[in-house]
This record gives sequence, structure tokens and C-alpha cells, in this order.
Amino acid sequence: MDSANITLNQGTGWILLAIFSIAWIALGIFWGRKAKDHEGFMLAGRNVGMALGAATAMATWVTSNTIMLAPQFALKMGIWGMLAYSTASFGLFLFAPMAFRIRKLLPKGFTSGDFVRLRYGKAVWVCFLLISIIYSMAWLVSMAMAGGIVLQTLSGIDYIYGMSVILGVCVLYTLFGGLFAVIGTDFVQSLIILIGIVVVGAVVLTKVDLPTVYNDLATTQPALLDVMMPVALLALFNNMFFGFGEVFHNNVWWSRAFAMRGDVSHKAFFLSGCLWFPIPIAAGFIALCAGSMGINVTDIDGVGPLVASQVLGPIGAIVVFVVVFCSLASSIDSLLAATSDLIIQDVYHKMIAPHASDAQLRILGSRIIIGLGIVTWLISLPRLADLNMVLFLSGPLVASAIFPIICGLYWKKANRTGALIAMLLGSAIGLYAYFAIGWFVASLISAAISVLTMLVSSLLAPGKFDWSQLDESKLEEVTAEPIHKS
Amino acid sequence: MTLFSENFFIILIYGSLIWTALGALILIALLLKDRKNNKIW
Repeated sequence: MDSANITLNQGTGWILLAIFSIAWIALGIFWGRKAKDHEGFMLAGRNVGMALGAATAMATWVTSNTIMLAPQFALKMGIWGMLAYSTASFGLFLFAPMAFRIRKLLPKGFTSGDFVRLRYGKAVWVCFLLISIIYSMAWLVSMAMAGGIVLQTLSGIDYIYGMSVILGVCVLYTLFGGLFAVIGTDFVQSLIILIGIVVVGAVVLTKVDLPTVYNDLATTQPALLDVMMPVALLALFNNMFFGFGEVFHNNVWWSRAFAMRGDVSHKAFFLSGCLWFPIPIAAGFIALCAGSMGINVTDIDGVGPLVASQVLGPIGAIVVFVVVFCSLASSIDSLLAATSDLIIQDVYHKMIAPHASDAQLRILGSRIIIGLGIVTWLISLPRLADLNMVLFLSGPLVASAIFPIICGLYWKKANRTGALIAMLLGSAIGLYAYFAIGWFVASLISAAISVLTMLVSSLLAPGKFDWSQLDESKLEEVTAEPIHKS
Repeated sequence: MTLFSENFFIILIYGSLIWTALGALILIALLLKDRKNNKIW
């Protein structure tokens, strides 16, 4: 790290960290008082309104990776790089009608695992849980690492200390408040993120002349403005499919669909996509301005915060610091809550202890949140090579789940064998493509293999699924009724 | 090599910032509406 690049002193960094840590924990405790039972802790009472619903979906999808990687994409792939990152919002748009159908088919559902188990049976369920938990861990680790990196870039706080504090704070307030705390803090964090990005972008625009930036790029790096940049175009589709896979399969989004009121879930997801779309461009373009401002980029991982702090000085560094802290917290808390739900509800409650009491589930939920925090911390300790690698390595896994989920929700003929082979084959060939060709095609190839497998299998041996089997509350009522022998 | 036009470049950047700012205003307005109708949670 070049010490000349650090514009916030360590003391200020620690003060900011302390202020926001105390604020999130206090808000978490305040909103967490609403959680009276395990279901309230997991799904915030299933009555979340439009404002909080849209904000939580948007804020969760604005990860620290958005703030860190969007400028990297701009620096490596120019205009198409920023647009490619923005296509990740399409996952939220397309999840909107799915959220409506999920609420209709599974009115008392808890997790995405519930759907896969009831729709496709145990083998697909186990495979799905593996993919989902591996991806969630990769996402958690990439964000914990990003937190450590950005704190170091902006204030010189040692990577390990910064990463540990951010992770610890998120574990604490998720532990106290469950989804009530997560959604409540997400709203505040989403406002800070949106306002912070606009402030940084607007001030950068007062320091540079965009036509000059354009001419500089056209002269020195015309490829960044190229209408036909093959790698960037592949990245666009890859990112789009990665976004679909992530949003469609991950319990982070399913738990929100279950938590929102039935009449607002689809509208809230659509609005969150609209709110998310411009963010990678608004946060990423500042990297394109680096050359025109004479900023020497030495650490590509931290190019966005570096440019902002160089242009805006200490105030800019504080704004970026706070925005990244909020984007980290809004995603880490959601992942901790949703992944622990998946482990408690699907692994413990359904596989190990079906008669566990509400109190037992609540206690175990707290322990799993702490356990996830510890595992994430241990994996993040050795700073891994590249944020892109951590994030995109799991891309082909989640992309393989896109079509089994879509077909499972809308197509009666989709069968369980097809779903299982689609996930296994898509993941395997996608991972091979990742190493043999590159990250920018891995998700694309995985999704293509997955859809082909799903279609061929389900057309050759069509299933006849009865949608009513997805409503477990009705199934429980039926099995609870006394049996009268005639 | 065909490049994106300068106008597109400028509109893209200004547009994204205005759109992002509008997003914050929409969220605040929705929260006030939900609060009025007692439908926040």
C-alpha cells in the first residue's frame, strides 16, 4: 500500500467505525424487539411494506463488491464494463413476478430450500443446499475481504482489524434482531449508499471536464470506449446470468419474498431493480476519470475509493468509507440471516430434528449466526489474491440453478432427474470453463448446459407436478385430520 | 474501431447520477406513505 494514497488518518477511521458500529447494533436491538418468536426472527412477521421491502432488496444487492468492482470493471472494460455490472439488476426485475408466484404457491414457506425439497425431492434439495451454502460463504468472504481492503485503502487501518470489526458488528446486530433488524437497518443504509454515491459522483464532476475525460480516453485507451469490445460483451451476459442465478436461488431473496406482504412483494422487487440499475455506472465512472486527473492507480482492487479520496480529500474519504461500510453491512447481515435460516430450517429442522421447539430453533439460529461469522473470519484472514476470483468462482454454481428454479416454479413437466443433472453438469462444465477459458464465460456456459439438460430431460420424461404440494400448511392440515374408516 | 459518442458518454454518467438521486427520494416518499397508512411493517 502506498502511504501517499491514504487521505484519512487511522484515528478518524476508528472513530467512524465506532460510531456506525454502535448505531447499527443499537438499531438492531431496537427493531429486534419486534421478533417475538422464531418465525418473527426469521421473516419479520411476513408483513413488510413497500418502502422497507424495496430498500432491503436494493441495499442487499448493493454490496461492497458493487462499490469496489464497478470501478474495476470501468477501468478494465470501459463503458461496457459499467453497463455489464448494471445488468446484475435484471435479476431483481425478473425476480419480481417470481416473488408473486412464490407467495402464492408457498404462502407459509420459510426458505428457498423448502421449495426445492417439495418440488424436486431430497437429492436435488441436498445438491441445491450445497450450492447455495458454498455461494453464500463465497459472497460473505468476498465482502469481509473487501471491507478489510477498503478500510486499509482509505484510512490505513490494518486489513485484519477492519475486516474483523465489520464482520463482528454485523454478527452482533443480526444476532439481536433477526430479519427485523436486517430490514430496518437496510433502509437507513440504502439511503446513505444512494446519497453517498451521488455526492461523490457530483463532486468528481466538479473537478473534471467530461469531454476532456472522453478525449483523453479516446486518445490513450480507445478500447474503453469501443462499441464492440468482445470481452466486455461476454462479461455483460456473464454478469447478467450470474445475477439471475444469484437472485433466483439464494435464500436472501426468497426470505424477503416470504417476509413482504403478498400485495407488495413483486412491486418492491421491481422497484429495487430500478433503483439498483444506475449504481454501478454512478459508482464506476470515477475510475475512468483517474487518468485525466493524473492519478496513478497502483492497486486495482481499491481504484474507486482511491480516486474518490484523492479528488475529495478527507471529506471524500469519509463519505466513501461510510458508503462502503453501509453496503458491506447491508449485505453481510442479510447473508448471515438468510444462510442461518437455510441451515436451521432445511438442515436441522427438516433433516435432523423435525420436532424441535420454537425456542430450540431460536437458540440454534443465534449459534449458527455466530458460527458463520467465525468461519467467514477464518477464511478471510489470509487476504486472497483477487476479489473477482472469489466472487466469480461461485458464478457457475449458481448459474446452474437458474433453470431448475424457473422451470420448477412455472412448468409442471419439469422433472427431478433433469433438475439434478442440470445442476451437477452445469456446475462441473462451468467450473471447467472458468479455469480453461476465463471467468467471463463460466456462468454463461453453466446456464446454457443447465437449460439444455433441463429441457431435454423434462421433454423426454415429462413430470406431472401438482402445485398444491408446495403449500405445506395445507399438507399439514390434511395429515392432522382424523382418519375415518368407512 | 467504432467508439461510443461523447454525448452518449456524458448522458450515461449524468443520467446515472440523477437516477440514483431520484431513487433516494422515492424511498423516502414511500416510507412516508407507508407510515401514513400504518403499513411500514
